[in-house]
Amino acid sequence: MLWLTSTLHHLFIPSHRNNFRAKLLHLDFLIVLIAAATLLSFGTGWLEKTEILGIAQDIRIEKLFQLTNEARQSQGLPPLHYSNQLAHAAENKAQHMITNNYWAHFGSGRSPWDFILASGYSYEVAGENLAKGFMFSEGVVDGWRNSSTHWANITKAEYDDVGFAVMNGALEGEETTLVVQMFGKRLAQEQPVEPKDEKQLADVGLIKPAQASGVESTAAASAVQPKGENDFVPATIKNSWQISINTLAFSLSTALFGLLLVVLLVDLVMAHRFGIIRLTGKNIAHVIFIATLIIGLYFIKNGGLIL
Amino acid sequence: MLTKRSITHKVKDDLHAHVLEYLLLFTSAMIFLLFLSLFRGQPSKQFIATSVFVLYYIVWGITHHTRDQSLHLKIVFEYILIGALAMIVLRALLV
Repeated sequence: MLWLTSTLHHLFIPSHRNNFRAKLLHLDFLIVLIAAATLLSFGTGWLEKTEILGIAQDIRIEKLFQLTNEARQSQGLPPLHYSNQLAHAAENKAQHMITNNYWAHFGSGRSPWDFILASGYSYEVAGENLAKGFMFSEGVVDGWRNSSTHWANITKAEYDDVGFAVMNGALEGEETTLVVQMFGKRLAQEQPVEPKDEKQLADVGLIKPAQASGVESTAAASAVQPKGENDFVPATIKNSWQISINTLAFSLSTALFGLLLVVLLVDLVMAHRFGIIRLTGKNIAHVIFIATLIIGLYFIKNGGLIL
Repeated sequence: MLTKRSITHKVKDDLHAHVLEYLLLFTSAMIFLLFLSLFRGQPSKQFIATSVFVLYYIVWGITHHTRDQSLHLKIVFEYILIGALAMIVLRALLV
């Protein structure tokens, strides 16, 4: 216990033993921290590529589904059912955006309704939310919550079903994670149908959707014959050994900056209390710098939305 | 009779003595956060903004201590190492 106290004293508090500057702020220790940070930076990339450990996606469909329904229930709305067809439409939309390098609801001659109809889902009303570059599922739904148009889609009472796609890819020159959320309500008295070839869309009577906020549409009757769809709830990942790389990197980054902030403040206060006069960098300036980076982590964690 | 000033007085004195420099530092921090917000979902651009901010911080430190007549090689290395640490940590998140 005495050893621990002595070590903490040496690391955090200026004294004759550490040349009147917290050891954690010495140049040699900063080099050690840089080496550790370098390991973190390259190690996380290596872990992702080698797949030695089970790597979990930080943005998970089951989590998005759960958070979406919790958001609806907080507004007194019934939960949405998970639709494989809307999920299929969302996957196709995500892949289409990556292949054709665009980030928009309407792009490369296709609309969200094209993908929904091609999946075999004939809708009375439908909608789409998009997100990219987020690190965590909670951030995605919070981002949608804070946007009136996206929130309007999530809390639209008319929707019955939802489907998600989460896809990694290069978009506009950057590796990113896309999230596509498709909403829908089936046409009345219609059963779900098998997904069809996109080229068969031509015989579907489609009303051109209005360019409303949050991107929603109503459509006339479809010529497709209904069939059954097995609505299924995505399975929850139960493997406790899986490591979320983004969570690991983010947590370690926050911890490192937090530690630096604490040691700078403690060193500043204790040096003043002991009346130490010394030639060092300005702790106040370092505190402003590190505090800015900690706030910056919030912006890095949250990605972008499209209106 | 000797009186000891409180830590807040000492910090205030330092800020008052170098008000323009600290204002520039604070402004650069706000601009950096603004660019991070503008470049949401674009990690490569956020990394560029981070690099520029870190570089500015190192230059600020050297300039500040030069004007304060307290510039020493150890202090220059201190700003460079803290800047380098920030760059490497944020690289893990952005690249």
